[in-house]
Amino acid sequence: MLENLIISIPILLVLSSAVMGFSSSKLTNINAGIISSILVFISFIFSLVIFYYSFTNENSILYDDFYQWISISGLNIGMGYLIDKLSAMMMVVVLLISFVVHVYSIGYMRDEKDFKRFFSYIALFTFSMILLVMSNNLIQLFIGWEGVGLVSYLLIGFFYKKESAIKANLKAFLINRIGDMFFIIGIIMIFVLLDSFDYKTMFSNLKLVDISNLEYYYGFNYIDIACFFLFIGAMAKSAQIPLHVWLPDSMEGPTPISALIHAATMVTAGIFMVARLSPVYIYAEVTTDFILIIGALTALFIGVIAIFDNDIKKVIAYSTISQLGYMVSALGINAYTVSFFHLYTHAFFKALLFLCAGSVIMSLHHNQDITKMGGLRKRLPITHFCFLVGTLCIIGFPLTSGFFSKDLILEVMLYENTDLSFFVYILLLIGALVTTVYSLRLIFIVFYGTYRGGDIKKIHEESFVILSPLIILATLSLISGFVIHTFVELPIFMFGVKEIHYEGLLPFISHGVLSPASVTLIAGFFIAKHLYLDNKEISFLSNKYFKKISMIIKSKYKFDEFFLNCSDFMKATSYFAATKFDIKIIDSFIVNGLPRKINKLSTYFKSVSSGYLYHYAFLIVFSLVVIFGIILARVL
Amino acid sequence: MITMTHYLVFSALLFCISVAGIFINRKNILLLLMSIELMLLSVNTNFIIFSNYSNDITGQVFVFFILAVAAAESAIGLAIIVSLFRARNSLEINLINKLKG
Repeated sequence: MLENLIISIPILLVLSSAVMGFSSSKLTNINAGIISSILVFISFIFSLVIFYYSFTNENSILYDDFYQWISISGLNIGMGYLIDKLSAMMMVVVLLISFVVHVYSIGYMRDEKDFKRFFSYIALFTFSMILLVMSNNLIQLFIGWEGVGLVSYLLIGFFYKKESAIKANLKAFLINRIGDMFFIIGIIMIFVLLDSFDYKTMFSNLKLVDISNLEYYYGFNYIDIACFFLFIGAMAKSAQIPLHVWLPDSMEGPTPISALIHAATMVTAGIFMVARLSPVYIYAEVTTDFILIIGALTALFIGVIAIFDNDIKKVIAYSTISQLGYMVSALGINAYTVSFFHLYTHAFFKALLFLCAGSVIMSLHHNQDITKMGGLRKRLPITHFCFLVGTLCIIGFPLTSGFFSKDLILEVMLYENTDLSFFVYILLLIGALVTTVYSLRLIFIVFYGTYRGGDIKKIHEESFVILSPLIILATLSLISGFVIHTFVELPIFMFGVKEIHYEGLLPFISHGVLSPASVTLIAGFFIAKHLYLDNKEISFLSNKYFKKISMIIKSKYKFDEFFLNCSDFMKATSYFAATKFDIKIIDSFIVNGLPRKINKLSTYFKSVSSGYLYHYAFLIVFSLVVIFGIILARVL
Repeated sequence: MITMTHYLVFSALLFCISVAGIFINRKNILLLLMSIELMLLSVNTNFIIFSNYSNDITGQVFVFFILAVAAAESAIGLAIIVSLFRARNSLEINLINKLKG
């Protein structure tokens, strides 16, 4: 019964995708949207049942390998599922956000010509994501991984007539290829070590591996290197420095996509993957330190960029990268459950922020420039309220979901008690300050002050289809943090991992309110109020030193230029190889040169065959004589 | 006294004449055919000599076969020559150089 439910989830989703993709024009857009939403809703209900089962039955892991795909001696690649608390939780989050975004898209995309193509893509995305989450082996995870990458590519370039969209989706695709290459290497290395792609077999084989006696390459042990390669794949997918450059550009896609794919679900696939492979990552001590540093740097430095950007969606995109940095740094101290808790709360409030931004953009007729907004609070009260909820969550206002998850990350970072983790704690604390500033800046500039874009009377709230998802997500963002104890005890797969210091809800709240994070919250509020509500930004930035700093930050640390230079270098190299090596050596020397030589040589031999019979006869007799002569000479 | 050596020398001479006939002759393709016949005859002579010398009748029987085959062969050869003549109106070997590579 439960098995059928599990399998029917991806089937429903792929069915939805196929129906939307291949349906005739008889199926109207509204009906198509409703059918698609209903199918996703049914899968969501199914996933809730599975979720309920996983969390009520202790030590319950639903596992099945229902299809053997490739079976060569020693190599078995199957299709199957492994549902434990981690994947059950992830499935619920993915399907819930997906359902909400489906509903929202009916409103948001209603005027688009390619309405059904859009719905086909997002159903396909949800399918791939579910495939990734419920997979029981690394190969199926990789298929889902590539599937979400593909749909992300298709959806960033959804408005394919816009040149910037095409460039952005190409960028996302190429950056992800870099990660995927390393990801495959990592998968193969893990297979070589553990002799299986299947999680269950992998982790039971891991117990047999002599960890203290691994091979060392350049001073790193085998597991470190394998995990490092896997993590580079996660870096590209989860947009960590320096492979984060694609995520801000991906905002070229429709806003519901930014909420679903580039904030809530796909970009967290990297975190999910590391959490899934946590039994292996525990042994990769050097790589986890690397993960910790990358996460902290991303959390702080990309967050800073958000303060200076003027595109409403890009600001939220930078904040997504920054929040992903928090999750990644929690992975770096093996606090997988904590990281996953932030993933879960972040999914709700970040999707909420994006959908609110979409609502604002729609009301302003596709204007995304925040310098043209302001004072929208009166005209868009519901959107304003929801946006406020999202902002309070992201800055970690007490009792909102972000407060619990972010404070938990900071707490475990402090309790880790090493030099590196303390340094990272400081970085994350400054990151929290930055988060407060850019989030409040956005809400102050967009919803407060005076309107800077013409006649404010023309602006009005969108329809109920747009607003109801906002309300659902706002509610979830507010309450989702209270299940914190589930996460603290949530075992990731079969291995007990890090003990987390947690004494109960009330002590945690009181402790969190009195922690340094609250100081950053208050300080951030006053900075943002001073700069953006009281409009002191211009006088502040005219200061010589701040001007220089802001110039550096506005250049986005030149990561784009770095990648452009890399590609220019590769272009020059390949141009050199093409003209010098390919044309000069291969083409004119080997391919054309060799036949020319043979041709020349053959003109000499050609004259032997004159065509006259007597020449041939002479040759035959002459050679016979020579041969017999040699034989005779030998005999005698 | 005519010994076997004399016969063999005669046969070798005959063979050399016919070989020379093949590649010195540049005029007529008919002569070519005749040279080939002559070559066969010289070989036949060898057969007969050795057959007589070793008191074995097989060699002489074989000669009859060769003669029969040679006759058939020259018939085919003549037929080819006739059709060649019809096609090209000449039998000069110098003009037949289509075997060029």
